[in-house]
Amino acid sequence: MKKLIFLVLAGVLVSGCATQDVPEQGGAAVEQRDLLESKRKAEEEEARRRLQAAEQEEMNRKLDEERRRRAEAEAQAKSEAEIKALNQGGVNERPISDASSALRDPASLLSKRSVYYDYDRFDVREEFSTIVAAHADFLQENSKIRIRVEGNCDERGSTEYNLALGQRRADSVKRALTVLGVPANRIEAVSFGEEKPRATGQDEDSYAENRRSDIVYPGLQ
Amino acid sequence: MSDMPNASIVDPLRRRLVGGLALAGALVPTARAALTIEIIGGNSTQVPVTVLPFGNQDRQKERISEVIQADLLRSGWFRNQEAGALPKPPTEPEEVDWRQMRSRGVENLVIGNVVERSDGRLAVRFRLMDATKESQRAGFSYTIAPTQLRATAHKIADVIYEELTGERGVFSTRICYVVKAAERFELQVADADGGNADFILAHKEPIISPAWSPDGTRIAYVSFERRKPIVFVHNLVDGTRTVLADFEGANSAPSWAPDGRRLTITLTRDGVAQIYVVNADGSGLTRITNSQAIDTEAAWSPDGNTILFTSDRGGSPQIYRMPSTGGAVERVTFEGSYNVTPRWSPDGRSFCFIQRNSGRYNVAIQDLGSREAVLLTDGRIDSSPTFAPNGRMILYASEHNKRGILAAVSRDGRVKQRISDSGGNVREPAWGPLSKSR
Repeated sequence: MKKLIFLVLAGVLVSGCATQDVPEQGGAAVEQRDLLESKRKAEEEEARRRLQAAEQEEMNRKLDEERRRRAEAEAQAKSEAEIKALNQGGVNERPISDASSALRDPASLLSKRSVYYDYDRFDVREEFSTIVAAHADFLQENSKIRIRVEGNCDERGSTEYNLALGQRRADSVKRALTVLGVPANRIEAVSFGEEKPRATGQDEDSYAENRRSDIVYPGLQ
Repeated sequence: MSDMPNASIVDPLRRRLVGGLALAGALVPTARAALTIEIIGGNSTQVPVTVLPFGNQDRQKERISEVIQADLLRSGWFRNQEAGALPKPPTEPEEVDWRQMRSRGVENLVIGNVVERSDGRLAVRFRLMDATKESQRAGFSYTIAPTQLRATAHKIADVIYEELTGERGVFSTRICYVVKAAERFELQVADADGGNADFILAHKEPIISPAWSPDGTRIAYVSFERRKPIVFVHNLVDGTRTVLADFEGANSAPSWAPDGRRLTITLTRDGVAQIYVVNADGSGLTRITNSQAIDTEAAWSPDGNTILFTSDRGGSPQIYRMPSTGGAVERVTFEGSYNVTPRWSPDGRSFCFIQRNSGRYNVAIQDLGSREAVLLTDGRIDSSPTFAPNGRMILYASEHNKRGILAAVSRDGRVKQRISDSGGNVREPAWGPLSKSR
């Protein structure tokens, strides 16, 4: 049976020496400044929150617009196809898509499965809307397929706060997909918080890689 | 060097906590790596203490006097006062040469002996003597099984600590934490000195947020073993466990009410993360926060009346306070744009938390009355602070040489310890309660 070894590394007991630099706490004047500072910060935060809400609103509006545009285009294409079919006297044939091969096609937008976020944010940036829309289309064409959206965070900060933030990230992708017409009951949004980092470095590039939602097709990867 | 002996205390691995029965495949016993505790700072005024070898202790598997001395010195509140060469160390007061002791600077003297009884048990006796007054300050005897020798040493260290500092000692308490090694996560329980480490749960998915029940018999935690965060309550006495919360979305942040019958948890089943109270058997779920923002990391005040929690309702994560029954919410942190993970001090007068400063994440402590906050640590990313049950030290997760380690800091920031596991990344610590029996 393996022994447990408990080593006390000696000589490092710095006797008679306070090791912590405690910042000086000021009196009333400092207190006053702190209160003003707090108020200013609270206002800044409020402004930021409003901005984030506005951006979310804007994204929802764009997604709605995209959905309308697609519906119109689809209707247009359908009527064109019907006319064409009538003209040809044939049947409107449409190839049955092989779901897995479409997902595996590296040229397809469907091969992109990740949405990235800014620090402490969960709104889907506009540059990812085409990826989300491609998955929404695919899911509408393949109505039996269910997906998971897995939200992730970088390692900094609170484990639990990051778990909640990762859930918001996953939920934001789920909401974008449902706005585009995918039934909510086919999407499971889960959070891994900071627990499953894809990049293990401790630099901004790694952190950015880990602030991410992944669209996962169980059994169809 | 030399204040401390190069102690190398070997402890047989004992499987006190058997968690494997209920979980068959998930739990495969392996040997635990050692936790190493390194003191990197001491209190400015340290009480001198001299622990002499106990009579007959060399016949046992470990030297009890060395365990006692290591406990006391590791706390940062004592310095080792060498007694110099003693051909035959005294084990009884009448054997002590007081003038010689005083001439060698001895003030607080610990002596004792270990007697092997005919029934196989051990009689351990110790006395804490005042060398100036030549009188006894404390003394106890214990009749124990040989396997309890180390636990008894911790009890003796607790008695000495309390006699000389006026506060309860925590050497007999336990801690739990998560070790990540390769693709394996283990929830381990150990003595406060890192001895007797053993795991209660192990699998390849993350485990976070362990929380001790107030009586120390159960640990609630979040496990991802089903590919999503679910809250379990694990019984340390019989190794069984139950699911506390497995709703749609994330289930997390368990925190026990002081009565041990209820917990707060964080759920996203109704949308964004909100705080709920639930009975320990999973019944009686009640939502207590109502916001459009993340509310999580609830912590109960020692009197059970108030909850501190983290919320980003103001735009950035900050710490708020509310009645544990729900109701009016009041913000309590204002400095900085990231204040998270509140934990009450055992006396209920302050709380520790994690604050971001200039890109670093550090442990801070804030007085609830004066609102004055003091930064205690200076790591790059410190997290998961947890108070020792006497309120003296705060254990937290940090990193050293790019590995996750545990570290501890005294509430005044003066004493610092670094604790690590040679086998992996250590994280998510939680300090257990004081034992009921002294």
